[in-house]
Amino acid sequence: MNPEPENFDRLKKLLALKRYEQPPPGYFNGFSRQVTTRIRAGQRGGAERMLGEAVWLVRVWEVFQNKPVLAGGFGAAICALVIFGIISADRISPAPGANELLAGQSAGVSTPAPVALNPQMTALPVLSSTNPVTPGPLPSTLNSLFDQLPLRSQPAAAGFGGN
Amino acid sequence: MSNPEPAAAKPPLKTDSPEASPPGAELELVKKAQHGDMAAYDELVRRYQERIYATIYHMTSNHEDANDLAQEAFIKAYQALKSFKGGSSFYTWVYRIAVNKTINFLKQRKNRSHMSLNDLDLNAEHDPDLVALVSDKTPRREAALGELQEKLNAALQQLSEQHRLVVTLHDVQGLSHEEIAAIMDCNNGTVRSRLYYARQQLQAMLSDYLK
Repeated sequence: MNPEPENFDRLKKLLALKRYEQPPPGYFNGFSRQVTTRIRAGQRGGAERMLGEAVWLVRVWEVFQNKPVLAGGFGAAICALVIFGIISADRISPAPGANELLAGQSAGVSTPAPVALNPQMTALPVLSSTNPVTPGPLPSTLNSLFDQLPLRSQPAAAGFGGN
Repeated sequence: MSNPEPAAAKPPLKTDSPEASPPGAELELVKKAQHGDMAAYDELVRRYQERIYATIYHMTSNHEDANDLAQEAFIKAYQALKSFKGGSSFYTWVYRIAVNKTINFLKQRKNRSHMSLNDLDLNAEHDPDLVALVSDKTPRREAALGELQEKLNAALQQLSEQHRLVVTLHDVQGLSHEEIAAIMDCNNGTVRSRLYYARQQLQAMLSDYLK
């Protein structure tokens, strides 16, 4: 392959004409600004997409962007609200029972026995599946194991005649 | 060339890039931009905007397309900046983005080519080489240059994107074979052979103006 460079001399000179093709005067003055503006707009657009369709939130965000003082005031108000909430929570007195319980614990007093729901059960040993079943007689107050729970039963009418 | 013109009459040739700014300073700007410093990125854009625009413009022969594509190339470069590891210069990297974007655009635009050429700089009338090319053809030099400009752009549009790109980068923008090879991600030999073929094609298409 012999390129014969002298043959392309006139073509190269002609191609040099392309270098004289210039964009309108001042075109490049605002070029970089346009690029950075579009980048920022794209970033904002991305944030807006993340916020979904919450247009009002975007507007609030724009207001905050335009007025930093307002944004600062809003932030301070939120902080004040949080601090107020923490202080208020400390001042609220707990329920009376809880107070006594706390007082008893702090004084080294033993905690009271749990309140029994069924008065009969307080007098009886607790029978449960984990307790050994002794072959001995049932306590005198009970005729049956089921007597310890207040079961409600209704007699079911059964008949073969049917309808 | 028996009558040399003053240097001021010569067209601006943007070949400078890596030498124009120290690599360290450029890398510093890139790192700042990677951390979201928009002023640093603005500086990078201003450094390369003319060359990127010119390359795209010469590829498309359309000012509006070149404007859009150049902006989009810089925006894409910013978005991809985190992936820039410094393996090549920022200049080569951003050039590659612009070139790929332009080639993709041209492939889509294939059948609806529309030229929107920039005006010629007034200095073109004083370029002795160009004057020599057109002075015999017509008494109205300005009209002849305009006509020449259109013919030249039309001929360039006849080339494939790869051949047009090589001619643009080498013969119009003055980049070296090595720089072009880095931008086009091919070897030197490929660049040279494409350049030779493209020149042959252009020479045949513009033979009337090159006698």
